[in-house]
Formats: sequence, structure tokens, C-alpha cells
Amino acid sequence: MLRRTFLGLLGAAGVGAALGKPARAAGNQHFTGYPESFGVLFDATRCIGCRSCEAGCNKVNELPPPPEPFDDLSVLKVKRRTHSWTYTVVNRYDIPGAPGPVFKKWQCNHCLEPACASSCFVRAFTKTSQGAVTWDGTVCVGCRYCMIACPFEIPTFEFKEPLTPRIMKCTLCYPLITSGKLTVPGCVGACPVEALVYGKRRDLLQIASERFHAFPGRYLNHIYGEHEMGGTNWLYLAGVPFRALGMREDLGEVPAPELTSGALAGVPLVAAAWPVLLTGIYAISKRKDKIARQETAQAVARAVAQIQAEAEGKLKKAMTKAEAEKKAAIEQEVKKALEKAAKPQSREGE
Amino acid sequence: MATENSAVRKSLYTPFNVVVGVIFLAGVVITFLRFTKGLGAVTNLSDNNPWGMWISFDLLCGVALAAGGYTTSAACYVFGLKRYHSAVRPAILTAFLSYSLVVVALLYDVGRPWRLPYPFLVQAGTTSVLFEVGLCVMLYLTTLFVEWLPACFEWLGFQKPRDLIIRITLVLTILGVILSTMHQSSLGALYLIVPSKLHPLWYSMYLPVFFFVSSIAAGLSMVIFEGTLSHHYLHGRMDAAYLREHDDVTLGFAKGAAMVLALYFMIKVVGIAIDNKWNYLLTGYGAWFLVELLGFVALPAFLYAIAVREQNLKLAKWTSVLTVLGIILNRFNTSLVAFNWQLPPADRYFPSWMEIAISVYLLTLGLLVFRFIANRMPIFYEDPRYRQHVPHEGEEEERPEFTEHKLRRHPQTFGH
Amino acid sequence: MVKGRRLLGLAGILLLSGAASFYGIQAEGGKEPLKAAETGRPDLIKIDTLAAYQKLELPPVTFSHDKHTKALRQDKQDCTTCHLVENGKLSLAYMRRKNTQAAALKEIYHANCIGCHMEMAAAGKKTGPPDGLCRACHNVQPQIAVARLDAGLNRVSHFRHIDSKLIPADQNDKDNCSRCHHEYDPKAKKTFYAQGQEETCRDCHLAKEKKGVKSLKQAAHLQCVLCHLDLDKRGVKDHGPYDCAGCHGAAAQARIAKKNQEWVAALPNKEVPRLKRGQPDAVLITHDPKWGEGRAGKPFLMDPVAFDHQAHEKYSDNCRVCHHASLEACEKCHTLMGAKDGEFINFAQAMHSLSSRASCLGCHSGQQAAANCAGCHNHISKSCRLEDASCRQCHLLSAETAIPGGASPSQISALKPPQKAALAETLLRARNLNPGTYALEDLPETVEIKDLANRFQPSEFTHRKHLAALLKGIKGNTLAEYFHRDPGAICQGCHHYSPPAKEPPRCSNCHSGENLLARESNRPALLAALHRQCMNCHADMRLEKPAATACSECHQEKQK
Repeated sequence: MLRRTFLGLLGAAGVGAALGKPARAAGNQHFTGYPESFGVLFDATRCIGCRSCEAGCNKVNELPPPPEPFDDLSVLKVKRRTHSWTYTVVNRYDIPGAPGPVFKKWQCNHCLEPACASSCFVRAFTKTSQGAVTWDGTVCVGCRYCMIACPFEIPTFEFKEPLTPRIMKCTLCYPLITSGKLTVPGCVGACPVEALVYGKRRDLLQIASERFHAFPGRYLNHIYGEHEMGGTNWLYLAGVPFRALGMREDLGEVPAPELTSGALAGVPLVAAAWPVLLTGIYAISKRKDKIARQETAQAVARAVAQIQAEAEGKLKKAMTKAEAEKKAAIEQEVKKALEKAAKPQSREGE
Repeated sequence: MATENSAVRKSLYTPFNVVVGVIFLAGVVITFLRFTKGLGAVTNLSDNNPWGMWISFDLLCGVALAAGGYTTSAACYVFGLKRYHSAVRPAILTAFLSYSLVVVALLYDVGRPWRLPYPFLVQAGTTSVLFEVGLCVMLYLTTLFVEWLPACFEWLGFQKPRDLIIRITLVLTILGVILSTMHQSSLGALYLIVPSKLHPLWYSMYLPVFFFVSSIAAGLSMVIFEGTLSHHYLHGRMDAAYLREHDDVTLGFAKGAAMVLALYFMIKVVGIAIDNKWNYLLTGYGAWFLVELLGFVALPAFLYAIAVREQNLKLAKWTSVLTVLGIILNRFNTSLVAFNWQLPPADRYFPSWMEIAISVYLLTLGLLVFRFIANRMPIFYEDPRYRQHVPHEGEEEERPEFTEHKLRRHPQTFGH
Repeated sequence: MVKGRRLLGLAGILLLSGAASFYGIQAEGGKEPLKAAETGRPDLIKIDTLAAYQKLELPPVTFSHDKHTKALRQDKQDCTTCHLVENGKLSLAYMRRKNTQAAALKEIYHANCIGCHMEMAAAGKKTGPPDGLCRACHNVQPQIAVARLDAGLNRVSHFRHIDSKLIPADQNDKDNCSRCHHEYDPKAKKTFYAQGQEETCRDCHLAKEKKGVKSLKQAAHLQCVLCHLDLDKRGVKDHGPYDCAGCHGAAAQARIAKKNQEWVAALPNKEVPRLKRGQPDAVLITHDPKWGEGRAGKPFLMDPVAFDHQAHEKYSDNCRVCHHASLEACEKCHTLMGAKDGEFINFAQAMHSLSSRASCLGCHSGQQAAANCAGCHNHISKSCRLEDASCRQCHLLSAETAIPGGASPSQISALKPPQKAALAETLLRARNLNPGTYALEDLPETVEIKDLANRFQPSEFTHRKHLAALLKGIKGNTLAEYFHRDPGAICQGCHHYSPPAKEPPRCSNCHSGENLLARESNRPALLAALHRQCMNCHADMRLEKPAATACSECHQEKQK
């Protein structure tokens, strides 16, 4: 291509790069959480499976009434998950070897680096400094990638709504607490045995290790959510292995945004490198074509010249030969004419 | 088939038309249901399975199989393989219509379709791979639209705009390749965020590379496949240059596809080796993975190679079908079969008939629009009044045999 | 094209197999190993002798000992068929006295095992695998798993042996201890009986053979099994078990336990008589006077503990629970600073460690896990430092000793053993074991818990009934009665974290009204305090009623 075209492209690339904001890709720097953020500590050794937390959540969030009342404990026979009408569920686990059933309350874990927030392409999720992960209904497009991304399978969608379906999930009662209507989330306030406590995340971690010391043998020495998926604001304690409670122990400690930040980092690289690469290939192929054409032309010219030279040589030879023959013929004719002229003279002399 | 140019008015109730009519009726009814009763009434989607057939087939397969656009135009304009020139416009048209249908499918699938432009106009979630997919798809759709416009302008007789676009063919092609690389790989990167939900044999940090490379093979095979179908059904629209180059396109693309599929096979093996996932191959899912890898990647690579070596067009064409099926299988596996593999069987997803009907409906729509455009616009033939390439300054003529003078539009002299 | 057709055929086969595997995606891989509880045998021995020499070419053989002894017995053969006898001693190894070289060992096993099988087969009898079917014996995944329980003697079984007429005492001895218990003279390389020094076999016979001393397994089998076999040969009916399942099988152990129960019930006192090993009745635990030496004017002081050895003998199944290594005094290995013999656990730790069953406090705290005790004791935090008052339960102030004018700990520890024993006896007899409680009339019969009554009516708590139940729970348990001597002690289960008093403070004095931000480490708010206090006690005491979720059993719901 022409030099000015190349310079033009270079300039465009430069301007484009300069206009961009510094790319703080979510990853490569580990976020240890907002220092004053709040969370909840759930203690499975205290939970008695009474479902008061579900009732409390339903009440403060004004959710639709459920098919079965909250004091119906027979629903615990099947394992339930959150749905668009319930932010939280309690499930019951009968574990062989444990003295009684163990219950687990499940809801959004309000991760430090949430997969939902990272995956949302309209930034509908926010990790607030208060600790809650909130959803903004004014921009959500309803693509449901957050539901795909969440490793805990939490966000739910109003599939029954034709035109304004919402993503529904636990909000840690963020709007209610920040507006002052509640001091602790609805579920925490409703629990009769304080299986749930609400406080600063760092305090909760402290409380959890104090419980380990106070009652050795009661707890598994692990706080679920301390490091899982980079850490969550909802922490769990239990006396049985967490996988027996349906909680995945194979999620690892890498926060979700770090899983895709590598791939996203490749995008500007492609945008920068491909133009040069492809233009280069184009230039090389054009050059090859041009050279091929030139070589063809040269070969043709050489061939033509050679043939011409040969033809000229032949012609010259023929011409010389013809010249000589013509000369000889003329001489012959002259001789003949002279002989003829000499002959009549002798006839006239008698 | 009923064509507009036939003199005798045939009955409208041909089998084809009846089938299409039924599909359309179903499509319209289901569309109405979707927008009055919600996704739950029409699909089998649930909180455990938020993405279903519309994403797997219409989005993932649609985008992968539309890769013919950038591969063909790259082959012709960037790599300088002029003998594929006649395949470019059909490939661009296929790609353009495919991407348009992807967007239409999204209008069905997404909860609030009118908010689809929000990521670009209101608030951008730049940490999201989906944002990158959306942006690149939007830009690429525009690029394809612009690349298609010359055919449209030639039909409408707008010479100056048409020439202007032809001048920037190379830029558009390069832009198309860049955008395609980015969004084809990003569709794979969508699943990077869920290592806990995707079966280890399909999950890999190389997912973006897998999706990109397989899209090249998909595009090349789609061009062969689409060319075969068009050859059969739209033969009347094809000019001498197209017909002359057709076999070369088939075999040339088969050769390319063979190599790309072999490459794809190798990097898939590397993907297994690097995480030491060999033991998964001995499970049920492993057997299915091997079916996908051996039957739909290794086998077509092999078959393509044989077809090229023996100049066997029939084999190349059938192998293109196999490859297309293989790409569809791979996308379905990644998004539906290997996804949520840890859930109990009762919680797994299978598309409802209405979802399948809408996908078929959109596909039919695309085919009809393709037929409409191909029957009228210079897709399979070159309009002799327009030189195919406006030369840059200082460049020699590429096709000196084109005439300089322009004819006035004369419908009866169209075509071949 | 022929090639094409073949390719299509291959492709077709591939697709078919793919479809088949698709169908079988839910198929589980491999068989689940059978659970030991269902089909486990105690007599399975893994023969992997060669593993010590080289890497095994084939998996170890899973050998069923009982099957073979049963078959041999039917054939009127005995142990010597497989186990050689040397100098009257049976070798427990198979067809050899000791291990030699790998090749020789392999030959011993193959020639003898397979040889016998072939002989039996030739004789037409049902037998094991013949030559050539290597993996019939070298089975990598045997169908049946090992289910072997540890065997041993508990107090009752031991006494049945002491009492048995079938084990007569030696001439000069009153009891038949010498029939099993012996000491070893390394110089004479002989065992001999030392009366009054009988200890548990495990003190010398450890888990592995060491310096010529047989391992416990070898010693026990030679001692016990052979004796039982001998009895059987002599035609005694109640000869005791000699096959693997007879001691190590779950069914057999259950049978023995039941038999022991019946045997004890038939005794005159309904309890096993005390073992006569010359053990003390009362012990005064003091520190070793030598520990105070060289401490430059800072004598080591420990208030003595009067320990009722006689009573404690009944609480354990065998002496090893406390005398876990030998019958010597604890401070021989667990010295003041800790010694290598005691694994550097010093004397104080050895007596007080909460996690070891052999330590005083460890055993006591283990007792607190019983259903009668757990209701209160499960919720007493272990990280709290024990109050000084609780030390006084065992460590008696020197001034309290019966020595006129009192005596310092050093003086007491310098007493001679008989004096110490007498002092201990005196102190123990002086103990008051009656659990103290306030007069029931002074305590409320019911308590109305009406703080926080909102959705529910106030709860009528049956206070006296609960106290009576708790008192009933500690009755007859010396440990509980001793430690609950103080009147307010038993009340502390609920009225905790405040000094014992007849009118303890209200719960709401410390447990605030609302569940607010968690700052105070583990003190719950009032609602949870009330609920958890009752619910946890019920759960730990394994009471089915009232269930924690049965709200109306404790307080009625208010009608709207």
C-alpha cells in the first residue's frame, strides 16, 4: 500500500488507543474485599430447620406468598433451590453418622468478586462497599449470562413475565438497611436460634475461629466462603463436610473475573496486531502477484525478442539469396540479349 | 420451485410453500405466545438451565457457521487467492443473513429485547465477555451489511456509492477478520467463567482458540455446502465465471478445511494433555467426546484430504455436511450436553418443540430471504456493467477484459 | 469408488458406536466395591510377603484362613499341615520358620499351596484354584472385603479366664495367672513367672516384632488360639474360639458381649470381683520430692490429690486406660519437665490434658458427653480457662489435710508411702458425696418467660420438674455427685457465667434484646439465648420431645 495509507492507519490506531480508559480488567489483582463490608455467618450446627428465615425474607422483601406455608416442614423432604419467588431456601441433609439432620440455608453468597457482576454486559450488578451484591433493574437486558456464570447457581429469572422479567436474588436487604428500615437482614432477624449473625466480615471471621476454639470437635475447622471463589461475604460453619450439605468444595479460590480476564486481555492484542498482520499478508501476496506478472512480462518480452531476431535473420538470408538470384538472372538475361543482338548482324552481311 | 420469472402461473400450494407456510404460522403463533406469556410458556428454560436451544443453535451455531463470510473474503482479498472471487458474495450474503438471524433470535431469547443496545449506549459492562461478543457482533453485522451493499446498489443502480464501498473492500475485509476473530473466540470464552459447570473434557483455557479455529473450518465447509445447495436450486442465477470457479472453490476450500480441522484436532489433544484429563476419556462423556473428536473432526479432515487428492467433488461436498454437523455438535455439546453435567438427570434440559419450531422458523426465514436476494441481485453472477475492482492509484488493471462503457438497465438482458 | 465405500462404512460404524455410547452416558463406570458391613470377612489375610523384597508382579493374594482351617478340620488335619513345629513351638509363618530369599519364599507358597490344591483335586475333594489360574488367587479386586475387628480381653472376659476351672493354677500358686502372664529373662533367654508383677501383654508385645520379642499378634495367637485348640482337642465343650471369626468377627464379638452380660448377671454381687494385683485402694498423688532439688530456694509445690484407686478400677474396662504404657507410677515417664520416655509430655499435662483419655481431666470431660450430662456440659465453652475453684475439687489445701497443725506440700510429699496411703484413705472417707442443691421450696415451681412475647404467648417453664430431672440424672454417678456438691453447681447449667446463687440474675441482664450487629463474640441476643438454651439441652440429652421446631409445645401461638 502507499506510505500515506500506512501512516494513516497508524495514526488511527494511536488515536484509538489514546482515547481508551486505562483497562482495569477484573483480575490479575486480587481484591481482598472492602474492609468495612458486612456479611452473615451461618452456623449449621445451630440451625434447626424451622424456616423462619424464609418467612422473614419473604415478609421484608414483600415477595409473593409461596405454594406451601413456611411452617410446613415437609417441604424439606426434597432439595430445593432458589426461584424467582424465593430468595433463600433451607434444605435438610440426613447424613449417616451424624446424630441428627443438618440444615443449610442457601442464598446469594455476595462474593467479594462476583461472577455475576463480572459477566454482566450492562454492569447491572454492583458489589457495594457495604458488602451486598445488588442488581439494577433499570439496565438489565435479561440475557441471563449471570445465571450461567454464578458458580453457586443463585440468580433466578422471572420466566413467567413476558415483557419485564427480572433477575431475582438475595440483596442482603441492602435497600432496607441503607434506608434504615432494618438493622439486620430479614432472615437474620427472624432466626430464633441465631444460626445467622450479621456483622463486619472481618469480625465474623474472628467469631468463627472463636467458636472453633470454644467447642473443639463440634465444627469442621474450615470457614466456607473465606476463600472459595476468591471469598464471599456469606460465611458458613458446619460440623460435617460441606459437600455433604450440597456445597461444592471443588470451586477453587480463583475469583470468577480472573477466569475470563485472560481471554479479554487478548482482545486489544488482536485489535492491535491483526491489522498489521493481515495488511502484511495482503502486501506480500500483492507483491508476489506483481513480481509474477513482471516475470511473465519479461519472459514474454524475451521470447518475443528472440523470435523476432530469428525471423529477421531468416529474412535477411532470404533477401540476400533473392538479391543474388536476381542479379544472376539479370546477368543471364543481359547475356542472352547480347547474344541475340549479335546473331542478327551476321544474317544481314550476305 | 415456483420462480417469479416463469411465464406460466403455477399453483401457490406447492409442497415447499405449504411446509413453509406451516412453519411460518407456527412461528407467528409462538412469537405471540413468547411476548404475551413469557419465556417460561414457550421454552423449557429454567433457573438451572437459563440458556437453551436459542443460544446454542441460533447464536452459537449461527455465528460459527456464518464464518464463511470472513474466511472467503480473507482468502480472496487478503491472501490474494483471486480464483475464489466468485464465492465471496454468496459467502458474504450467507454471513450477513446468519448474523441478522442471530440478532432476531436474540430478540426472542433475551428478557427485554429493546434494551439490547443498552451495553453500547447506556452502560457498558466491559468486564464481560458477552459485552465483547455483543460489540463485535454489532460491528461485524454492520461490516457485513456494508460488504453486501454493493450487490444491492448494483441492483438499484447507485453507482457512486457502490464504487465507494468497492474501493474500501480490503479495509472491510481486514476489519471483518479482526472482528470475527474476536467474537468467534469470545463465544468460547463465555464458558471460561464456569469451570465448575462444564465437563472437564470440554472446558479448557483454550476454549477461545478452539471456537475460533473451528469457526474457520465451519466457514469453509459452509461455503462448500451452501454452494452445493445453491448450485442445485439457484443454478439459473449463476454466470460462467461462477460455474467455472465452482469446482475449484470446492476443492480449494476442502484443502483449507482439511488443514484447519487437522490443526483443530491437534490443539484439542493439547488441551486434554495440558490438564492431564486423559482419564475422563474412559467415562461415558469421554466416549461422547471421542465421537465428536474422531467422528466429526478427525474423520472429515481425513475425508477432505482424500477428496482433494482424488479431486472427488462428491466426497468433498458430503464431508462439508459432516463438518457442519460436527460444528453444530460441538456447540451443542459445549452449551447443553457438557454444561451442567453435574446436575442430576431430572434437572437437565431438553428443548421444547416450540423452541425448535422458532429455530426452524428463523432458518426458513433466512433461506427465503437468501433466495429472494439471490434471485434479484448480482450474488451468483457479476453484473457486466460494473468493474469488480476499482483500481487504486498506480495499480495495474486486474481484469483488463472488462469493458469501459456502461449499458443502461435492461431487465431482459440480465443473467445468463 | 471402493475406497469411499469403505470409508463410509467406517464412518457408519463410528457413528453407531457413538450413538450407543450416547445412550449409555448415564452408565456408571465399574462396579462399586462391596461394603465391608455387607459381605466382609474377618479372616482374610493379604499375602504380600514378597513386597518387602521387590515390586510385586501380581497383586497380593487374599487368603481366607477360616475357610482353609475348616476344610482341613473336616479332613482331620490340624495346624501343623501348614505351620511347622520347631522345639515344640509352632511357627506362625507359612511352612517356614523365618523368611529367607525371595525366590525361596515364592517357591514355598506356590509349591505348597498349589500342591495341596492339586492333591485335593486329585482326591476328588472341593478345593481351591489349580496351577495356571494365577489371578484366581492373585485377585486385584477381591469380591469380599476385610472386616476384622480388634480382639482382646475386657474385664469380664479376663475374669472368666481367672475363674475358669479349665485353666488350673500351677502347683505353688494360688491363682492361675502364671498360665498366661510371664516375664522374660534376657540373660537366660527364658520366660518365667513373677508373681505380683503381672502386666498387660501389650507392655512388651508391641504392634511389630522387635528384637526377638514377638509382636502382639504373634504372641496372642500363640497363647490364646493354641490353648483353645488344645482344649478342643481334649474334648472340652466350652473351649473358646480358635478361628479368626471367633474373636475378630462382629457377630462373634456380639455373642461374647452378650454371654459376658449374662455371666455377670449371674454373679453374687452382679459385678466382676476386683483384680488381685496388689494395687492400692487409695493413692495420694504428690509431686516427686526430688523435683524440688536444685531449684535455688524456690521449692516446687503441688497440693496433693487424694485419688480413690479402688473406685476408679470399676470405671474402666481395663487398666490400660490409665496405665497406658506400664503399671509404673505416671511420674516415672511424665516427669516435671517432660522426658523422652514420656514423649516430652510433662506431669502437669499428663494429668490435665483434656484430649487424652488417660489423663484425669480428659477422662472426666469425656464422661460429660453422656446423654445425662451433655445437655449442660456440651455448651460450656472449652476455651474458657477453668476457675481456680475447680482445681480445689481435687487439689486439697494442705491445711485441709488431717495432719494436726497442717503440713506444707513438701512435707506431705516427703511422707513415706504407707503414710501417704493412710492419709489418702482418711481424706477420701472424709468426702461428702451428696449433691447439693437449694431447698426445693425456695425455688420457683414454674417460671413465666414473657420477655419478647410477641407472636407467641409467654412460656410456662416447669422449673422444679427440670431440676428434679437433672438431679435424677446425676444420682448414682459418683463423679457427677462429687463435682456437683456445691448447692449452686447444678444450677450453673442454665444460670451460667455468674456466681452460683439462690436467686441468679435474669437472662436479659446479659442477653440483650435485639439481634444486632455481631460484635460481642459469641453471646447471643435474648431470643436465641432462650431458644438455644432449651433446644440444645433437649437435643444433647437425646430427648425427642419437645422437638425444636414444635413451637407450640413450649408456647402457644397467639390467635390473631
